[in-house]
Amino acid sequence: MSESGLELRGLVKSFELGRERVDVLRGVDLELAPGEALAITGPSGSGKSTLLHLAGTLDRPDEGSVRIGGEDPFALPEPRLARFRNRRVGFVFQDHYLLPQYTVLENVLIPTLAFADRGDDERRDESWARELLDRVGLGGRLAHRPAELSGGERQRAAVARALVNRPSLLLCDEPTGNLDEASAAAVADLLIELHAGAGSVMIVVTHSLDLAGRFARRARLAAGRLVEER
Amino acid sequence: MRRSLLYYWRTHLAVAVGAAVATAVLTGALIVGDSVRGSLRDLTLDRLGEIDVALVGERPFRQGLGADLEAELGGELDLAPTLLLSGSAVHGASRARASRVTILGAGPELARLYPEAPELPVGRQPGLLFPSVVLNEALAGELGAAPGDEVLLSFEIPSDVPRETLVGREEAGATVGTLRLSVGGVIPDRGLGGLRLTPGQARPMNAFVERERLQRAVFGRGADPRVNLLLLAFPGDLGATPGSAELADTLGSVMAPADLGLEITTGAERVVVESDRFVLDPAASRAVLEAARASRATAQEVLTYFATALRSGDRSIPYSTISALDPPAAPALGAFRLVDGSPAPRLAEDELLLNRWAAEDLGARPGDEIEVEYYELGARDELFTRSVTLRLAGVVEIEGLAADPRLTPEFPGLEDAQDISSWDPPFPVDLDAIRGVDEEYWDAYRSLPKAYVAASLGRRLWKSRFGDLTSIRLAPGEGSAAELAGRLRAELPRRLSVEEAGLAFRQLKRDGLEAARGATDFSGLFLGLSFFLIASAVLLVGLLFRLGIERRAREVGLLRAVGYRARTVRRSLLAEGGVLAALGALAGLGGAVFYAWLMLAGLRTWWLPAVGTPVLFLHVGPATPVIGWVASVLVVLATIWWTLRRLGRVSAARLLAGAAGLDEIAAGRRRRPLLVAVAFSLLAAALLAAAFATGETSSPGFAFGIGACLLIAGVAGFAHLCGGPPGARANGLRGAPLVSMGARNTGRNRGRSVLSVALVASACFLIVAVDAFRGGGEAEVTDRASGAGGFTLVAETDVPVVAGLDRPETLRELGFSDDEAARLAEIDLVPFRLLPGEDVSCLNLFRPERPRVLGVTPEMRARGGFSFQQVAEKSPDPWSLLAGELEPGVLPAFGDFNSVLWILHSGLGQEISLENERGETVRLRFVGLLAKGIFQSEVLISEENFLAHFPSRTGYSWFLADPPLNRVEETAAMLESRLERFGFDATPTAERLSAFKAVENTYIATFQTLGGFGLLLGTLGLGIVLLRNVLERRGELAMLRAFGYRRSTLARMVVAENAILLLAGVGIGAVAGLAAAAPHLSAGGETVPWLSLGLTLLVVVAVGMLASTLAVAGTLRTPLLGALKAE
Repeated sequence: MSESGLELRGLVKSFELGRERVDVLRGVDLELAPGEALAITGPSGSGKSTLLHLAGTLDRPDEGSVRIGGEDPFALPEPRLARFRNRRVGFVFQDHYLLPQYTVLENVLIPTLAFADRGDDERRDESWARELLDRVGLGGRLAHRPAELSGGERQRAAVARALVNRPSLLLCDEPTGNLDEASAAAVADLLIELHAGAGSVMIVVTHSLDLAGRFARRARLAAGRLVEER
Repeated sequence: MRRSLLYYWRTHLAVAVGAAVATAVLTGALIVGDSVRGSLRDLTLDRLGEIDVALVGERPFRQGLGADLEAELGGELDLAPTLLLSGSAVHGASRARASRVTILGAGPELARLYPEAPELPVGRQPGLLFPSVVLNEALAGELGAAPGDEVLLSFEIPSDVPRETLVGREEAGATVGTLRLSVGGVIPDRGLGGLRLTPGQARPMNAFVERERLQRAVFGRGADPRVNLLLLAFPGDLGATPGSAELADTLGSVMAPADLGLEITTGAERVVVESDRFVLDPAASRAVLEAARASRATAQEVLTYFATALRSGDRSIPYSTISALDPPAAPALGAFRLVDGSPAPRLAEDELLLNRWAAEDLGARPGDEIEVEYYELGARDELFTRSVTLRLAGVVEIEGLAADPRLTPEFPGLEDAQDISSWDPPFPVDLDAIRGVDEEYWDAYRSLPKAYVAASLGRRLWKSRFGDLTSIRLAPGEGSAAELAGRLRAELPRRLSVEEAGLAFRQLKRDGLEAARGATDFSGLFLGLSFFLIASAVLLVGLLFRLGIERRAREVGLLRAVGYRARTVRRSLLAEGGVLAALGALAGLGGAVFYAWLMLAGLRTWWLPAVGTPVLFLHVGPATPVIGWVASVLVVLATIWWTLRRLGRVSAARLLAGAAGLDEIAAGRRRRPLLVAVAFSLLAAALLAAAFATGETSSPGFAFGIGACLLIAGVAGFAHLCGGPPGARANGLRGAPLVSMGARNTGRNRGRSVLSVALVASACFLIVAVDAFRGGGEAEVTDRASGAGGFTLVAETDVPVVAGLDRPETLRELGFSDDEAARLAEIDLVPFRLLPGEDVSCLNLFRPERPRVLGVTPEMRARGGFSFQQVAEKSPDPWSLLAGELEPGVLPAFGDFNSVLWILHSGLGQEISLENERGETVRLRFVGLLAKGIFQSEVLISEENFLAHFPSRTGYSWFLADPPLNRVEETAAMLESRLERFGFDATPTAERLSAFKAVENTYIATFQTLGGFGLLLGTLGLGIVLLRNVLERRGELAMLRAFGYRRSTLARMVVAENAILLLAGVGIGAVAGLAAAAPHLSAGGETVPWLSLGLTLLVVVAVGMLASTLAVAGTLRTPLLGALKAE
C-alpha cells in the first residue's frame, strides 16, 4: 500500500429505490500509488459514479474504508472533511458545471474561495489559476464567460478548476462524455499530460474505450465488483 | 390536457391558488364597493321609513297646508306635519351638552311613516316631572341621559320679520327659546330614531317633542299652528312618486296669499298688499305689480321707515315714521294734497314733505332745510345713526292718503302701545326726548308718517336685501276693489313659485338613494388600495406558471421537434392555464367574500376613522362575482400569455436540452439599462427643479413623477450592475467572496432578478412615499399660511348669532363679564355665514348634492391667510378672487383641494350647481383650491354673494378665533359657556385638522397594510424565484460541494444573493419614495415618520430574509449528489 496514494477496502454501497434495495457496490478494493492513473469502465448503472463519489468523499460507504494519502477522511468531522476534500480532491464531471455568471478565471478560482482564511494564498492561487489556464490553452480567454466558450474549451476550463488546489486525487466522471471526437481527444491529452506532471492519483470513469485505452491501468466495474484488466 | 393537469397537479395547484388569491382580492375590492353602496342604501331606506318627499319651509307655514295638498293630490298619501328645529341639549343634572341636535315637534302621524316604530311617548306622561321628550340612542348616549332624566333643549325661535332689519332685530340672546323636558323614552338610532333629512352616515342626534308643545314654545300660545316641514309618503314604489315640479304646481293651486306671507286688505276704493315680514320681498313685490298690471290696476309703492328725529333749526321731533312714495296716480289711492289744496308735487331726491302737524311743530316753511335722522343697520347688527338734509317742498294736509294709517305696517313693539312711553321697539329709544305733543300725536294718529320723501330716495337710503317696499297700494282700473282683491288672491300664488314663497320640495328618498351611490367609488378605492396585492398575486401566478413550463421544457421541445408549431403548443398551454385560471378564480370567489368581509370589519374597527360610523356591512351585488371572475380570469390569462410569449423564441433544440428560460450570460450587453438609468435620473432632476421653480412642491403629480423616474432609474441601474460590474475584469471575487458570489449570482438569471427587484422596489416606493406624505398632524396652526390659517379655534352654533360678538354691549347682553369681554377683545373672532348642507369632506361617504356653504366676510378676505394648492390667477391676495360675480349667476368659490377633487369630483375652473333660495340655479366656479386645512367640509363664497342668493339666512353660525395656544381651552370654555343658548361648540383647529388627517392617515394605513400584504406576497415570489434558482443550479451547487464548500456556506451564499435582491428593491424603492416626498416635506416643514417607516421596511426585509432562509435551508438539505451523476 502506498503511503500517499488511494486505498479502497471492501467498499459496499446500496440504495433504496422505493421498496427495493439495490446493491451497487458489493465489496470493491482498489489501491493506487501517487502518480498512478486508472480508467474504470462498465455498463450504465454499474456504480462507476457511485464509486467515484465514495473515493472523493462525496458520499459515505455502507461498509469498507477509504484512505487518501494515508488518512481516513470519513473519520473527520463534517467541516474538516469538507476542507480535506477541498484541499486533496479534484473533480471533473461530464457536465462542466461552469458558473455562467463568472469569468473563466473566476470559475477556475472557485475551489480556492470555499474557505475564508485564504490570507496571502489569494495572489498565489490566482497566479496558479492563470498558469493552469495557460496550460489548458485558455490563457487568452480569462475574462470570457462560459457562454462564450466552445464545449471543449469549457471542459478544459473545468479541468483547470479541478487542479487549482493541487489535489492529490483527481477524479473524472465521463470527462469527455459531452464532447465531440476532437474535443474529447484534446481533453484526454490534457488530463494525461497534467496528471503526468502533478504526481497525483487519477481515476477516470468512462464509457469511452478510446479514452480508457490510453491508461496503463484499467478496470471494469460489473455486478458491484471491480475487476482490473491487466 | 386533462392528463397534463393531473400529472403536474402540484405546480398547477400552486398556479390555481395564485389565481384564487388574485380573484379574492380583485373581486373582494369590488364587493367592498357593493357593500358601501348597499349599506348606505339600507341606511337611507331605514332612516326614511316610508317618507318619499319633504316640503321644507325657510319660514314656518300653515300646518293645514298639508291637508290641503293631500286633498288636491287625491288623498292617497300619508303625511306628517312637523316642526323641525336645530338646537342643543343639556342634561339637567350632569350639565352634559350636545350640539347639533335635531328637535322634532312631531305629531302621531310621524311614527306611522315607520312601519315598525311604536307611538312616541311625547306629551305629559305619568310619573314625569316635565312634559316628555323622546331621545334617540345617539343623543341619549351623548348626554348620558336615561328615561326620567331632565333635559333642557335650546333652539332658535324663527321670526317672521328678518332679524337683520331695523324692525326685526332682537336682543342678542332673545332669539333662542328653551324647553325643559323629562326623558320619556330612548329609541334606537334605526328607523324613526335615525330620521335625518340630509345624507350622511353619522348618527343624527334627534329629540322628539310633542308638536303642539314645541309650537307653543316657538310661536306663543294661541298662535295658528305652523310647521316648517311636511313629510310625505306616497303609495306604490318610488317610481310612482310625483316629481318636485309637479308637487310644486299642485301646492301652488292650494296656497292662499297668507301662505305666501302676504296680507291683502280691501278698502272701499283700494287694496293694500303688505307682508307679514314687514317688508315685501322682491319676488312678492314683482308678483303684486305684475298682477296689478294684468288687472289694469294702478299701483303705488310705499316704503315706510323710522326716523329718529326730524329737525329744523333748533326744533326737533323725536321718533317719527316717514314714507317714501310718489304721489298717487289714481284718485282711488287717496287724496294727497298740500295745505293749500293743490296736489302734492312729485318730489326730487333732495326734497321732502311734512304733514301739517309736523310742519307746525317744527315751525318749518317750504324751502326750509329739514334734517332727517335715522338708524342704519350694520352687517353685525350695529346701529349707525345717519342723517340726510332735505328741502321742504310743501306741507301736506292730514287727509286722504296722508291720513291713512296703513301707510305704516304693523311696527313690532309699537303697534300695541297705548302711549309712546310704553313702546318696546327693537332699537334704542330715548323716552326722555318724548314730549307731550308727541303723545298727543300718538293718541290721534298712532304711527302715521309725519314726513314723505321721493320713492327713489327712500329706496336708496332704507332698502335692505329683504326688500324695498313695505306695502303696495292698488286702485282698481275696472270693477271694484273687492273684485281686484279677489283676483289678487287667486293670482298671487300662481305668480310666485313655491321657492319664492320660501318653500321647497325635496325628493328625500330619490336623492338619498342617489347620494348613497357614494362620493367615493369604494370599488375603485379598494382596487387601488389592493393594487399591490393583486399585482403580486398575478405576478406570482405568472412566475409559478413560468416555472412550471420551464420544468416541462423538454416536453415542449419534443412537441416542437415532432412538428407541432410553436403557436399550437402555446395555445395548448394557454388553454391549460385558462382551465387553471377559471378553476382558481372560481375558488377565489369564496375568498373574495371573506376578503371583503375582512375589509369591512376593518372599516368598522381598525380603520373606523376613515368612515366615522360603523355602518358598513357585507353586500354582494348579483353581477359582481361574475365581473370579478371574468376580470380575474382575463388578468391571469394575460399574465400566462405574457409568460408563454417568450417560449416561441427558444429553439426546439434548446428546449430539448431543458432550457426554457435560461438566459445565457455574456459580457458587455448592458448598455441599454445604463442609458435608461441616466436618462431617468436626469428627468427626475429636471422635475425636481421644476417643482421648486413653480412652487408646486406639494403637487402629487410632481412628487410621483420624480419618484417614478428615480424608481425606473434605480431598477435600470440595478439591471446594469446586476451580476457584478461588467467588463473585462478577470477576477472580481477578491475580498468577501460570499457576498461577491451572492452579488454575482444575481446575474445568473437577470430577468428574474430585475423583475423581483422591480416588484419589491415598486411596493416599497409606494409605501415610503405614501407614509412620508402622511405627516403627524402637528402642523403649526398659528402660522397664517397653515391649514388653520393662524386660527386656533373653530366653532359652530346651532342657532345663528346675529349680533356682532365684537361689540361690548352685545357681550354684556349675552352675559360676558367685563374681564371676559376684555379678553375676547384681544383676539380675532371671525364669523362666517353658513348655509347648512352636506359635508363635502372625506368624512361623508354619501355623494353630497347640496354642499355646506360658508359666506366669507370682507374682513376675513382682507385678512387672508391659509395656503392655496391652486388658484385661477396668481395673486398676492388670492382671497380677493372671491369678490363679485364672474358672470350673471356664476359665483367665484373656494374649496378644499381634495374635497373638490375627490368628493365633489370637480376642479379649478370647474363649476358645481346649487339652488338658491328663489329656486334659481346658481353656479359656483372654483377659482381657488385651498391646501389641506379646516375648510374641508364646506365651499366658500363671498358674504355679499351669499346674502344675494340666500337673503333669509340671517346671522353667523361658523367662527374662527385666534387665541394664543396657551389660552385655547380657556377661550373655548368661556365662549361655550356664555353662548350656550346658541349651541356654540368650539374645537381647537389642531383637533379638527387631526380628525381630517385621521381619515387620510387611515386610508394610508389601509393602503400600507394591503400594500404590505402585497409586498409579503412579493417576497414570497422572491422566495419562489430563489427556490427555482437553487433547483436549477443543483448541479452547480453539488459541484461546489464536491470542491469542499460546506452546506452552510452554500446556504449563506444563496441567502446573500436573496438579501441583495431584497435590499436592492427596498433601497431603490425607499430612496425613490423619499425623493418623491422631499419637495412636500421641505415645503410643509413636515418630518418623515422615520420610526414607522423604518419598522415597516424592517419587517419587509426580515420576513423576506426569513422566508428565503427557510426555503434555501429546505432545498439544500435534500441530497445534491444525484445531480452530479453522469448517468
